[in-house]
Amino acid sequence: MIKALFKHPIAVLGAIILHILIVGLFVLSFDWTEKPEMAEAGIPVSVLLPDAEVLQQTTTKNTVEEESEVSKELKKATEALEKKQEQQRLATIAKKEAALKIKQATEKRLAEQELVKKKLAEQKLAEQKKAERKKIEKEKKAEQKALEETKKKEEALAKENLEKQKIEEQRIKDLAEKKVAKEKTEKEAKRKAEEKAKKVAEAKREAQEKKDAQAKRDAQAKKNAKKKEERKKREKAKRLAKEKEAKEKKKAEERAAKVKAEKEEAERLAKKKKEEDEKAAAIKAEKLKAEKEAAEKLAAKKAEYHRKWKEAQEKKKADAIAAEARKKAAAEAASNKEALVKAKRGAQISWGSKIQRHVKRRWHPPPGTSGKSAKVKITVSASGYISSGIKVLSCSGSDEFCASVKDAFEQAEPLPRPPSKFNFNKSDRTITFIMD
Amino acid sequence: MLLPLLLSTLALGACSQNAKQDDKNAGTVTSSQGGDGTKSGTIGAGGASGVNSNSTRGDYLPNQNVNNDPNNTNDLTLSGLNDPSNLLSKRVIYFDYNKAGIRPEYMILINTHAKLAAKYPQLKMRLEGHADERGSREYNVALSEQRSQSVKRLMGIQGARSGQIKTIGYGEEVPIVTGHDKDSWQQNRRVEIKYDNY
Amino acid sequence: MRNGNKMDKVSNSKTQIIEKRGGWYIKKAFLPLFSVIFILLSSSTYAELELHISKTSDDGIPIYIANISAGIPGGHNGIIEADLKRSGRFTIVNRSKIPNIASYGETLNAGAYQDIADYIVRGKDNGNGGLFIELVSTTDNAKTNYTITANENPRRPAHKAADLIYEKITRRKGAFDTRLAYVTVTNSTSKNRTFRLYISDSDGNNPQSILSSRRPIMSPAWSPDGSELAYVSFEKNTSAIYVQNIFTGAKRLISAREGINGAPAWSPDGSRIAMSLSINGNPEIYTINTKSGALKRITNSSAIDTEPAWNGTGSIIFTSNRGGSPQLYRISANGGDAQRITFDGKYNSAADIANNKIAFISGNRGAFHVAIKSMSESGKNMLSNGRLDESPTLAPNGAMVAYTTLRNGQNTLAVVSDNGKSRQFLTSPAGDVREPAWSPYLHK
Repeated sequence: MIKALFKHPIAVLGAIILHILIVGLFVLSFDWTEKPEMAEAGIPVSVLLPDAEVLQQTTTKNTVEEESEVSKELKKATEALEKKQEQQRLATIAKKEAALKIKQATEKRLAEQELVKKKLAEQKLAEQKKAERKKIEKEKKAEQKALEETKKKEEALAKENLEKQKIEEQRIKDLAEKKVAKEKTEKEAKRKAEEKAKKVAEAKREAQEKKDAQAKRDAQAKKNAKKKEERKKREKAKRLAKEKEAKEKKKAEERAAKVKAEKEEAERLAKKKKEEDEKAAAIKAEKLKAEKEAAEKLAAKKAEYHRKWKEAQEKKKADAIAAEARKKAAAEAASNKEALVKAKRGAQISWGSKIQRHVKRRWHPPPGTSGKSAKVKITVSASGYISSGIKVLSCSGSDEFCASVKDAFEQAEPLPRPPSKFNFNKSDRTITFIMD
Repeated sequence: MLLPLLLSTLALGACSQNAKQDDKNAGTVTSSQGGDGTKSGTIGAGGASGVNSNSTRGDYLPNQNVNNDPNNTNDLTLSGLNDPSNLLSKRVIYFDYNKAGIRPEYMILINTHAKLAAKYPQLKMRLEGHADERGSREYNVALSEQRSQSVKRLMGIQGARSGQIKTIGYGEEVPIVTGHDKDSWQQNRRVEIKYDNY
Repeated sequence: MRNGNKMDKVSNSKTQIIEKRGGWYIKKAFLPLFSVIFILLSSSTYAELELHISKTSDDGIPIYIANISAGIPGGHNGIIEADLKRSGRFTIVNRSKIPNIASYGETLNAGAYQDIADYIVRGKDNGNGGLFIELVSTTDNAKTNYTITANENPRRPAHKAADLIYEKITRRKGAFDTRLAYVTVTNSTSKNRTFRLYISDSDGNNPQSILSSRRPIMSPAWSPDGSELAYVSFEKNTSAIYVQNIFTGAKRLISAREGINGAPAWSPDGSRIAMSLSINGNPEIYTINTKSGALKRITNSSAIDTEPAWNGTGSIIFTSNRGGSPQLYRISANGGDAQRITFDGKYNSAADIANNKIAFISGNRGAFHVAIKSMSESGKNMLSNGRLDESPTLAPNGAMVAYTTLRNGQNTLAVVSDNGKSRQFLTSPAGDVREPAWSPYLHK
């Protein structure tokens, strides 16, 4: 038999897990509340107050005393009498108090039991709230991290752009110097042009490398970020993960678009440089012109790029804020929905107890029917009238008794209206009464 | 059944004792010779009643043995109705709760009055029945009338004519005492024998 | 939904294992898991409300009576409050709960006071002793207005207002504008004893003596139109039944037969008076035709039969000890066999009937209490707990019972509601009070 078990390990596993599940459900159903101790339940152990009071009174009496012996003795005698009377009075008071206390104790016990129940419920609520809060905090933290990363990326991009700007300015300088030294020799110019070309090429290469490195870094960072986010995703609720994915998607798209744009820019620049070199090699004047035009174009393009970059930044900011706001709203909506459901149930129960009191005050069962009972079902309209008719589901008494049950509901119209704040459907407004 | 027992104790004690006014022995008979040659007997009872004339009616309290000389008919005079030393001055009979039956200790009294009525056919009496306050009023009227009728029936056996006796029930409406305890109730459960001019 | 998450985890790991090995295992493992999940999910939907209403005592319908002119001590509102309270169906809300209520005639937003009272009553004197009354329901702000004409008894408009309010809310006829008749005796053990027959308002106010005698007066009984009282009087040294007009004082003899003439009771149509007569030896129930005087014998036993009470015009409930001790029996108004209707306790007597209910005296262990039972039920409820309570009489709507009870050594009038929730002691002139009788609905 055991061999047969080993043939189907998954089934065995499944069975074991099922059993664990059931035991776990059973264990969860235990009520882990502690019963209050008897002493705390407020049962009086002894009433000491009267004796203390009597002692106090006798001592005050004694301190006042300072007269002749005869009057002293008299006073002592009256004191003793008074003491006795006091004690007796206080004893009866104590007895009454004890009886009262016992009454209060039982009431207290009942109230405390209810309090304990309430506290447990509240604790559960609080714990749930705490867990939710922790979740939200975690999400916030993850968002912040992502934000910081994007910020870092943006800063790196900014740095890169600044560097680019510097390079461009440097190039312009070189061009200008070349202009001045151009007249010297073509060779020099050529050399310089070649050097410049080299430099430009190198710069281009560097830029490209940097870009590639940056792109690599971006890719790497993106990968890391992705990994991190994927990890966090597993920890978050589905809805937040989705949103994050969407946001990340957007960001990735933006980043990809930007990288694309930057790549295109780099390519454009490279193209331009090529043209300029060709022109320089072919015609100096044209090269100069071309270089001038190129410089101007570059400047213009830089400005545009800067503007675009700014727009992208602002758009990213706005999108981030919007995404955050949306996430918040979604979380609020979720918790509001839960709270709404709870509040609706609470309102239904409190409305039901109003109706119960309303009907009970109008029910006059005939004498001698203490053991009889009936069951009645009604649906209450929004205006407080019984829209379903009074349905007597069962009645164990005489015709007179059953008539008194129906009569109670007829007298009770219009009933207290269902609260308009909540959308009570027909089932919410249907109540079954056990009248006994 | 009780009567022969009583008679025998009487026989034992009859000749040897002279009852005084406040004699507390049970079962004594005294007789004295009156001036006009008539004998009037008093029947001493244990306790303070019977011979004691401090109160008039209503002092013939229950649970006290009464002894009788059935042959003694010389006591039956109309003046005896107001003579404190005469049994005829005793006019009240007491009853058990919710019952109209005559207690044995009152047989003699009732018979004495009955014999008087039989002796004086013109004599008219009222038997006024009463009840204690417990229970409903009209029912108590009926109960008290039953009590007076019990007395009337007994008197009829002794020769009193039906026309001489009027019975009436007052229920709980005319109590003798207004207490709400067993003693007061016992005192109110009674039939009073009333003669118009006596 | 901790359980839900647990299930998800388990199912996820399971699916991973299964996917590695093959699809057949999915069917086998998933089904029991599925069913457990389904059960857990379905238990989270809310069921319809189910509530419990027990017969045990509760407050009455909360009603707020604003100040109405104080032409009489306590004001008209004081009379209305006492009446509604006496019925055992209302709780009078303390006036301080709505401190500055808009006065009669001004607009009132009753819905704002839904948590304080179900109804608000406002009103004012109409200038010549009558009343304007407004009754508002706080549940739906519905208003009802009444105009009540003045009456030579200045308290009656307030009682009529109480009746109108009672009827509107409970859909039952009110019985506050009614009268009580009762007997008092002073110096009961002396020669100066005096019996008096009184009539008063249903709350004990305005007592007037209509008969005074040195000899017992008993068993007052109202005619169905409320203008005459039948009673037993011993003024001729024996019991006799008289009928007296309470307005004119005109008095006539109904029965002075040999023996007992007792316990008169008018049939609901006024055609006959039932009574107990012992003319044939023992007390039996008879009826006498009020027009012709013809006598008809109803019961035939060797026991005491007395205290007849009409159950409609066709049957009579009476007290009889034919079974050994006083119990209640029912017999047709034409005579015949009697059926016993009380089986609980050794002493049941003094029945009074109104609105399908019987109030009577039930004796147990030497104490006598007022009990109430329905004609169609077998059980009874005890309504009083004095030691020697007597003479219960039902208001014509069956909602209240007046009786006498020992208080400070004397018998006094008390009124208890049929559900036992309200008890009031009524004032009456000096003396020991007995045998109250509640009048029918008044026409005059």
